[in-house]
Amino acid sequence: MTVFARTDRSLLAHWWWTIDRWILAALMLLLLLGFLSTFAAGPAASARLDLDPFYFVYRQSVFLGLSLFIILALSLLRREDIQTLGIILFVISYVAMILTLWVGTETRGAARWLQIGAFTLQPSEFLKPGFVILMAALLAPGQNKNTVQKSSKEVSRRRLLSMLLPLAVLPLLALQPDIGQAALIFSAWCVLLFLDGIPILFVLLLIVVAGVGAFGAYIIFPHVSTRVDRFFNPGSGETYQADRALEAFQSGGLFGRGPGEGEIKYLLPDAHTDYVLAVIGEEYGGIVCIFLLLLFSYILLRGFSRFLGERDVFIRLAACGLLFLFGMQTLINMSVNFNLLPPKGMTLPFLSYGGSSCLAVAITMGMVLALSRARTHTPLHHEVTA
Amino acid sequence: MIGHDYLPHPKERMRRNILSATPQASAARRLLLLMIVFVFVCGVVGARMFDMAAPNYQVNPIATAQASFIADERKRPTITDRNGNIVAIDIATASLFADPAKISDTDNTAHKLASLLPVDESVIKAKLQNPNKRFVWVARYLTPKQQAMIHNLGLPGVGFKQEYRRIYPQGELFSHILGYANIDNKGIAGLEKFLDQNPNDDSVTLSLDLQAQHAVREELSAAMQEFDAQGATATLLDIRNGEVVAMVSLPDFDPNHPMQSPPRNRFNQATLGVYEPGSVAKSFTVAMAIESAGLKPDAVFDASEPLRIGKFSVRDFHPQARPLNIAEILAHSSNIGAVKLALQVEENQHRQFWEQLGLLDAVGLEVPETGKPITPKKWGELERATISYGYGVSVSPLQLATATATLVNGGFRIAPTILHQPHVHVEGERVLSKETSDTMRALLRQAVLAGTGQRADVPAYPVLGKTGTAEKVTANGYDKNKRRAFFLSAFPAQRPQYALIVMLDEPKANASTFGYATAGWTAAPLTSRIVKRVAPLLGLRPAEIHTSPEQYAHLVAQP
Repeated sequence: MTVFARTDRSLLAHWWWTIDRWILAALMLLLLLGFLSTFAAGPAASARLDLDPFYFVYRQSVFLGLSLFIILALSLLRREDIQTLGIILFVISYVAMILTLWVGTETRGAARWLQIGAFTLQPSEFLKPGFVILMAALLAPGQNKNTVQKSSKEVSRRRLLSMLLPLAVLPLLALQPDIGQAALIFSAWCVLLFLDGIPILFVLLLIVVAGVGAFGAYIIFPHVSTRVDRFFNPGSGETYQADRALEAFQSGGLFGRGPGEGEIKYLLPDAHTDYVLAVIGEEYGGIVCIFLLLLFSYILLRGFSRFLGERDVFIRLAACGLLFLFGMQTLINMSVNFNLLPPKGMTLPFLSYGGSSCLAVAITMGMVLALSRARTHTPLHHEVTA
Repeated sequence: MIGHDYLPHPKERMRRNILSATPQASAARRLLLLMIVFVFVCGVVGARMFDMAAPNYQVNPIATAQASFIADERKRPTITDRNGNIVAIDIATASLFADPAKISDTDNTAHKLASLLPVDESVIKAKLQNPNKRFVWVARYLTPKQQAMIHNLGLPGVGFKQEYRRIYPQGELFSHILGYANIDNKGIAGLEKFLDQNPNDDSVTLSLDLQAQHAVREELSAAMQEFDAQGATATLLDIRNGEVVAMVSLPDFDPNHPMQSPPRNRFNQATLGVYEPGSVAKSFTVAMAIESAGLKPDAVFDASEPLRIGKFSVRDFHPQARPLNIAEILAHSSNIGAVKLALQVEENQHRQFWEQLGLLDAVGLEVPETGKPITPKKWGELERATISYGYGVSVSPLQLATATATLVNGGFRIAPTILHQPHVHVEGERVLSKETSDTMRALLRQAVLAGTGQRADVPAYPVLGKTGTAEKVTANGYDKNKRRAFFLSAFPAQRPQYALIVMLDEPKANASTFGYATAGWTAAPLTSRIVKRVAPLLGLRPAEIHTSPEQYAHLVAQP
């Protein structure tokens, strides 16, 4: 590891010595696996849509390459840049989300996408990291970092103010409708407040609110109620996707049926996106699925543990909120694949096909990497004394 | 940075913060709690992953049933003749099945499959459209070429299963012996059914000889054609250990396609059919008279007058109208003489003798299709009289063959078998004394030399035997114009090793028989032709070719 001398203070050398190389390596492995998984699920999906067999492979390769670039580029940024970037990202995606209500592309009953040239963009994917950064900035006490103690009045004011954010965002998501993303954003908001230190009583209150909200969604949105009904009562209706996915895992067994031997990729319309894990499980087996789970958990837990002793409130809240988004998205997708949760439109980071999802996750993790090294921007004392 | 002259190692710093009560420590505790929740959820998802993918996971009872179906696939034993020639074997073939739930494009799949299979597209489509089924057969037992072509279509939701298919390379030759297996390779008839009931090793060796079987079948078929008979059967038995060396029943069927033949063809006349044997039964009557009544072959009985028993009168077919000794009664097939002989013994003895010869009980054999004899309820004088010349009791040709074996093998009862036996001699229960058996050999030889069975003889392989012509029973009683012609025989005469029973069902007279359709003109020459071909195949040494039949006169033992 002698690429850069420790005394080299150039931007790249500094980056090399401060970046979390393990998380970076895990993310790059994930990108590589995402590239491989498009070969498993992509050609079948393009055959179904009468496209070039490698249509999805080419596109996803571009997205994954861009993702790698974004991760590396963002990880170079400073704490202040991340804050600015996050807020800009939030504002742009928020405006774009409002636009989708009028000019959005409707796919399967939901207007979530904006047509931009040859690409369709899903603004809500990009809104999530922006939302977390904005929340962290709202809750954190100014630019003076850890030196200023927050007065309790100031703290309460900021927390009350932060309530405006979900109030602004959730109705938009409900109108699309995208209940999955709404639930994810709401839970991110709750977790950020929890990490910021609100009293436990309020935490319980938030859980009650979440329950009421979930029940409200069940009552109001017919597609939510049918999905939930089917999940809890499989005999009541069509459980095609969930059943096929489970069969895929069973037929794959622990060691899989072998590359190209899977059948689910021909059967599920979402095999290359939401149900890519079922394709992987069928062809490569349960062991590989468990390996993927361990890889995601590793990124998540190593990421969280980096910020256990973080004094900068903004960094701690922002990084943990971003990691929470990443982890929740992963676990929800995996749970849906294994029929632990009712189906919802949530992708598996980097492994599912989809440009918006890939790039948004890249932004999220690039920011996490940047924040994980932000603390060390100030000269390291033990290095200086050494 | 004031107060930060010394910064501990990050890990130690972290630990310190968690343990202290500063706001930072509280935040760290909350983050730790969040991590624990994540670890817990990851654990649940991981457990679920393992649970799903683990081999013993069964969510779907249909999948279980499917698995048991495959496990049930059992290989049937290979069957060979006594010399190791394969007569029945399983070959592995591929069968095409479909899982309708996994077929995305039913029309296309059915269309493509129909183009390669001799099955109608609509039939395939109907099978594929059943959404409740997870397993349907599309076509069974494909040729390797068909399999390759379907494989190359690359259709999802269809697959191949290896299935064993029973093949009978000898076609009709062993039809009634082997029986057949159905499309699921389950034994339905014959030895195949027996093997399912009595699980066996990987291979089974028959006692039958492929070459002898072929010769018998060919001669039987020729005779059936020559005499325009309805059916014909022959059973060739090793009299020393009961091995069936050849057994044919015509018409027969191809066990590869059993259902293409009418039910009549699948009926085994040799073991399942029971018939009144006619005059061949006189052999048993004579043996009984000698064994049980202690009569000598030269004992004389008057056969000049028809015999009246109650309202019934017994006549001879070849009336000699003179007193006949026992040898002559057999040779000339005298009904009157036979009745008189039978009445020499007690009622119980008569019945017991037939029982000891194995003629009154169903015979045990390794084919399930064995007929139960038809016997009279009481053995009164009239019944005993008719039984003495072969009416009133119906037995299978196989029973006649085993009884014949006892008459000439030294007097031992034998159990017939179609499986190869390790020992050439099997000492069964003694039914006749050796002397009686020797006498029977001589008397039966005499019946061929000087009696009704002359056309059965073969110069190089002298035959001993007895004719039997039985009128068939129709709705109006016995029909004089419809007969079964039997010939009971054993060879070679000097030291018999094989018993042979042939039967022709309704043989018709023709020019070569001078208008006769009786056994002496039909079944006897058939016996001759069979012995002529089979004896060399069985490794018998020919007798001196140039000796005249008269030289065997001494065999007619004169005590």
